[in-house]
Amino acid sequence: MFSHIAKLIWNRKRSNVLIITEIVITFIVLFAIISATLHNYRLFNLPLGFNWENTWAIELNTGSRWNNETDKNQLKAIVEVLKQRPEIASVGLIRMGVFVNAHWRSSRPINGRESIYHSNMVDQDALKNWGVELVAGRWFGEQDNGQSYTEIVVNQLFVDEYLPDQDPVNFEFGDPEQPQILPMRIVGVFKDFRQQGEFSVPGPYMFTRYQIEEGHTYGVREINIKFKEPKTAAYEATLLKLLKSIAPNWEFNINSWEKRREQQIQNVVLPLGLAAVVVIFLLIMVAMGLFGVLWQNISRRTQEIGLRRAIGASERSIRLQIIGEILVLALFGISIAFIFLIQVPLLQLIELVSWSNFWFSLLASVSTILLIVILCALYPSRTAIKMSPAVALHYE
Amino acid sequence: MFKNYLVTAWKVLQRRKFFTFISLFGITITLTVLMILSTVLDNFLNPSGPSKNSDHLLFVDRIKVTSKDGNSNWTSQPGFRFLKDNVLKLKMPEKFSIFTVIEESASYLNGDKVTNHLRLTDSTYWEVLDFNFIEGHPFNKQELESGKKVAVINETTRRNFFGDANAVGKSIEINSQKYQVVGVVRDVSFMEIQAYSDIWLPYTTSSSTSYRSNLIDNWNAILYHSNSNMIKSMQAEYIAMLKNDFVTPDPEEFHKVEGGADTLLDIFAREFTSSYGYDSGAASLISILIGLTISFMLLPSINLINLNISRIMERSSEIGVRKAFGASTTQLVIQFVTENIIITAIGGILGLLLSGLILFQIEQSGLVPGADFRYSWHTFIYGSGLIFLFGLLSGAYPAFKMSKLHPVAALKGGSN
Repeated sequence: MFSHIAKLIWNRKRSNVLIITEIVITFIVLFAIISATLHNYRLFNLPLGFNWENTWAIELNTGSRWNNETDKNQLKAIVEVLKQRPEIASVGLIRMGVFVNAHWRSSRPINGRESIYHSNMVDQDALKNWGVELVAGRWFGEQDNGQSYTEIVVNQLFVDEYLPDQDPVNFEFGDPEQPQILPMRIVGVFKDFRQQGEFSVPGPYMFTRYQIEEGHTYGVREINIKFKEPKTAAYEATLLKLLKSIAPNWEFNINSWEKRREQQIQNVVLPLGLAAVVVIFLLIMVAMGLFGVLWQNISRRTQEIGLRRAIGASERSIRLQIIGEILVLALFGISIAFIFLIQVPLLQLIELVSWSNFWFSLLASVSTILLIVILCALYPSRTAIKMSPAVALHYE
Repeated sequence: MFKNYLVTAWKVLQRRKFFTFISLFGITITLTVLMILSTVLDNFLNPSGPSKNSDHLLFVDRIKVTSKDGNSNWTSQPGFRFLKDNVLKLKMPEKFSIFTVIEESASYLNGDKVTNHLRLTDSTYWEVLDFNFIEGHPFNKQELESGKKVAVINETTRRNFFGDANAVGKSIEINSQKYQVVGVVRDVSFMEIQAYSDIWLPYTTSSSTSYRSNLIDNWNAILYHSNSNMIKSMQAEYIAMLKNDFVTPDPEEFHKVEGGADTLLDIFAREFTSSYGYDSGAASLISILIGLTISFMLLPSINLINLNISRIMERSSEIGVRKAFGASTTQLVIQFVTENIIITAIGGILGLLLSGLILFQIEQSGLVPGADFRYSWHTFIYGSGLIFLFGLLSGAYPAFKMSKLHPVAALKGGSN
């Protein structure tokens, strides 16, 4: 049966090459959109590591270079005033805010191996207040003041990646190129903190402790306040007035985490959605095209089918032949596309296509293509069956 | 003869309506997508708002700074200091304007938060760009130099703050400071990245003066010349300045600056090809865009080729007769390609209508602030180009196959 179909296809190779090419391209396009959607969907469902409800970010623009004396006092005054407000549950300082696409990559050797991670800076209570889960050790605190190390907390992925067989708590590592800088000591491990939001790829992450007192040349960029209950825009106006009264020379921009998150989701979903709409239209177009081609081909092969019917082929075997032919064509096209696509995870061309993602997307695309192809062949195969042998042989 | 082709094409279209529908569906969808993209690009490159005289303008919008040891380099918008020290000393441009990129600022009205875009500009900004004032006038040089707190706002902002009433002379609170409105302009499309904003203020009203010392920051410059033929020489002068007498207060960190005084095409090319050096990559942009267009057309073309080939049989007797009466292969190929281009053109017109509808929906949705997508004569050139390209891609091979039919076989009803 199969070899017979293969021979039939070979005899009509010219026109079949075009159909196969069409299937190859459709398959690759379909695979691309499915794997991109799947990748983002999976990321979206991973735990974020913190709570974003009822929290606002006050972005600071301190204008000129950070002046240790005046700016430090000003920041301290703001934090103090905010902390005393009854409606505010907590006040946290962070260098790079959440749901923002800014990040800071650092690297340093650990046990002789270069480690690469994202680094950020918060004050000592912020992570706890945002609901970040501590896995081992403790958060940094007053007891770390004036020690001979820089206190840091890292996420579980950092430990898994760079300290897999070791107790991470109290592990110290310095920078061999700059021995004058204090070594870093891991005082605690937290579950995760996906600062760049739900669509970011989880990776090793580290926090150093920010203290207003120490007067870093690079200041924090955000004050984040968590409210006991939701607040309105009217409150935002009073808050801004309050801030301006303390620091008239600074500019403030207030944004809720929720709003930033929505914006970020929109930035990913909108282009993906548009691409999906275009791909769906392409699929409809290809399906209708295939249907037309098959239909036309069947009506052209009247004699052949009539002859088969005359010598006693059953309806079922005619239908099997028609559907079988197009299935073999489709599978052939899919195999060619597969040879191209398998290179992506093999050579790690695009980071986001992991193996599990690859197989799932492959399966989904194969079933979609086969379904389309079979649907396209159903109606033409019925016309073929309905043909009376006598009429078919009289054709011309 | 061409009239004959038209008539035949029309008859073929009517012969099997379902097949015609399939062909037109594919053509329309493909051309709709491409026409939307090209219209958006055209609106960026040939603006119809305040920067409509963009062929007289050059923009300094990005600089790439390299340190002396070559270890660090970064690309950013230039700062005030860089523009003052280096760009404003150029000889050729007749006018300069420096201004910031837009920033968000919040205002609170009756308990609601209104987010406005804010831009700090100088006074020549209003001369090099052609804003449409519906009320009042721009701020002038004197007001700029004295740091007077005056503002130009757009129509939407006027509606938000003052309803339908006139705004000139009234005051408006921005960043907790009071500004007096001196002018109201028509809304500007977000696509005009140098002109778009909701509120424009003199840069001297900024609450700190630290911007004056920054080499990289968030500033832009426009260079203007009344003769658009001078644009090329102005670009050359800018690059010569960067190479030969670039003034830097920090020769260690800001050792070398690359970039260009860009046309809108250059700006798009830089972003699209990430080329931030002296060359904007505009030359390679066109071939990249054509390549992308063809690859997008590939699948629809093959689909149409398949359909066309399988429809050859419909025409076999016609081809047989024509061949028997001595029509040459070339004549037949030309005829069939023409027919295909005619079908594509019908799909193209449908695509134009559809893309107009979709762009209108995008305008209404407010996704792009102030968007006002227009078809210009460029659209028709791009559109015709796309139709011709697509018609040729999908029509050439089937036409060749058709013309190869043997006359006897064709008259008998054809073979494979």
